[in-house]
Amino acid sequence: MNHGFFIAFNRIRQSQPKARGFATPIHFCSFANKTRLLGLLTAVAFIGGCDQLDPPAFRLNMVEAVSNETSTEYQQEIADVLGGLFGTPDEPFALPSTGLDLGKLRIAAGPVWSDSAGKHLGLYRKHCVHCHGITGDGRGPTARFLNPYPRDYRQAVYKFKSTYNPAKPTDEDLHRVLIQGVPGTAMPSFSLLPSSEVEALVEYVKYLSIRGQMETELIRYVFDELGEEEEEDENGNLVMKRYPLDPETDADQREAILEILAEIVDGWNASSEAVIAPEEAEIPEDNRAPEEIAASVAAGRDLFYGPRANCVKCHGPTGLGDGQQDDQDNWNKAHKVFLETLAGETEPELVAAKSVVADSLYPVRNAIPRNLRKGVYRGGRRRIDIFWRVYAGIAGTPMPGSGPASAGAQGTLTDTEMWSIVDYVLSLPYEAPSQPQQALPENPNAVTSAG
Amino acid sequence: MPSTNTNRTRFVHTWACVLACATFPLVWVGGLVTTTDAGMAFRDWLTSDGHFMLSYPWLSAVGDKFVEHGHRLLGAAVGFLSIVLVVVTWRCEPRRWVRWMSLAILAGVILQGVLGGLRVVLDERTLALVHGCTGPMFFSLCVAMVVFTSQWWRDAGSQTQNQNTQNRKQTRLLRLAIVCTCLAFAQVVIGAILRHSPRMTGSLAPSLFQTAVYFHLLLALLVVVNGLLLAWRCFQNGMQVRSGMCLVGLIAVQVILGAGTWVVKYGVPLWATTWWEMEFVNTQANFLQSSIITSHVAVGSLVLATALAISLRLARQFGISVPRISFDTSRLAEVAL
Repeated sequence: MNHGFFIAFNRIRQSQPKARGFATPIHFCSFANKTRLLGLLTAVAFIGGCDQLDPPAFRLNMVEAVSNETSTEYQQEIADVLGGLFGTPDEPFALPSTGLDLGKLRIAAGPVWSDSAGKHLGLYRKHCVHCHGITGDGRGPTARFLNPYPRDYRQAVYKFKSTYNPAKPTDEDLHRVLIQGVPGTAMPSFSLLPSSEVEALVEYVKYLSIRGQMETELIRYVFDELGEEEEEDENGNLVMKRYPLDPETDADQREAILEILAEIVDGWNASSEAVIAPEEAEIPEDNRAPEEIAASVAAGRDLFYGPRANCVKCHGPTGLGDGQQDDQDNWNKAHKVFLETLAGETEPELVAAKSVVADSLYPVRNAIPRNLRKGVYRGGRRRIDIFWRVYAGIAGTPMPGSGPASAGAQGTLTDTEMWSIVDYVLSLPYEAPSQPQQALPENPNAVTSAG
Repeated sequence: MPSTNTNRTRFVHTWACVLACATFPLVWVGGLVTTTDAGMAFRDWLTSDGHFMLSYPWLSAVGDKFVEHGHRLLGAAVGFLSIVLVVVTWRCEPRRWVRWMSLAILAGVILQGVLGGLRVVLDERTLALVHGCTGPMFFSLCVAMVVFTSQWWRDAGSQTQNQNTQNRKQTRLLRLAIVCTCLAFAQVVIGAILRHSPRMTGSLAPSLFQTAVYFHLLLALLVVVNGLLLAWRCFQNGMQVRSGMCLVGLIAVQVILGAGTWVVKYGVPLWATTWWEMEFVNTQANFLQSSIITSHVAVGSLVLATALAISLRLARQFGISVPRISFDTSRLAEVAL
């Protein structure tokens, strides 16, 4: 039993706004008292956002909710539970068991302002919300215009990290992405921010991820464990009985929810143990002779075009990223699957509900492999950054890893081979474009099969 | 015409110029406040963190507090200049409507200050939006005052007083200028919505942003076409040629700044990502980003003010009736402040 959970649950539940999904009505113009002062400015206020006097609220993952046939009652109950566990965008909350630093969350959350000591608050809304959205669903106002789409934190899948593919990123990984930005995308560098502010943002990103994971798990829990079933009433008639999601009164549900949360948090806590540490002896020296580098590049090139690493399949015979073009990352794939299920749906109610959600989704985009000849490396251009990409792949994308999937497992390539690929990749921008024969495929079968 | 009166009205014009020149940096810094999200650097107003405006240690402040308090100080300075303008105008300017206009300018700066203050006290982004629209309006009002008090205006008036024949070409030219002014202001409003709308964290944010961006682009196209046409017609008619060229130059700069704003904020536009990959990383709130975005806001105000000035001067040249200049000293003597 967690006492803090109930205090927070009761506190938040009272003030929790109705669950905001796409199925809920949208309030265009609910003016609060103070806006009456605006008088003649009403017209501009309407255009500019008169409904915003409602405090910003997290929105439900409607793709998950509709896919799992979550009724509106359950959607509201899930929102209530999430409100109890995580608070609101203005008043975030986290149970001590999550390990999240509430102080940092409060700095990052809420509206933008500065206190008299000059401490900046509302950092997430200041720097991130325009792309990543208030819920961290990657659906901020600008998201539709960006390629790639901004990261949806709710799956807790991050591309550029130092850990094994399925593992969560470390705080250092998230910190590094914030400081360096992601070259070739809209993600800027926040290197001018004080370290304390970057740390607060990292904490808030983790908070949104954990909240998003919890939301998905709750939807699945409701689907698996709750619902409606026929029961006999006092008169022996069959009636439908609904089992509500109410951990406040149901001890079993409470325990199950806290177990789910603990599992999610464990995943994050284990990230520091899942860091990929290359074998010291295999790490190439910085001051290698040119012949040694050339040999490593040649070995990397063989692997690039060879069947074991088979980089050529996606990155193409010229390394221009012109190989396989028709795959998607996990986020787009999930939407594609959702749209496919809608196409095959026959029940009118579900078709209607799914259609509303489908209309709100952004177009599905294919994951186009990187053009390695540009020298733009999204995850960082240090050799270790590229080594991590080769070793673990890029989580959530079709890019597979060539190293072991976890500590102690067997990988496709050895560390030395992966360092050779790193050397070759780093040499590609300097390979003379006037000599395309240098990049002719040595593994034509793989290229052909990539079609 | 008494030379003393001419000198006195010139002084009004000079002061109007000073006011307009002081207002442009105010608009610029106002844009910087939004760019750096410094609007809520203080939660109080008229005081700043409890300090009286002039006693706040501004020069030792940093970051958002420096920017926001700088904006407040500039606003106060413009307010002071407006008061002096009222005094000067009511003492030296014979035209009653110009004297009343100086009072309108004073009312405008007070209203603008109150709007900005209420935005802070109520923490209301909608008021920031309104403040962002009325700022350029106030600047345009100051520029209009410069036009009205200029020697050119008086000379043009004396030349056109007997010309009441407006041919169709002139009407079309004037209409172009007025449309250009309206389009420029509409751009200011859409820009303010993009930067300030509180709905940008709501459920309708993506739709609102997309609509606003498309409108902004469409209006930009219209401003460009209209501006070019206006300049061309001015050139053909030999009227306001320099102002027309200036407008075209400003619009060209504004288009470049607009594209730059997107690139330094969000990277390569979506339609260009297939053939252009950004090979650098933007740095949030660095000098380049802040300068380009804020300049885009400020030059927008300049476009508006220039279009308005051209409209007014064309109207004057075409002899559209305005109150006649009168140097009735007995009326001047009635002015009491």
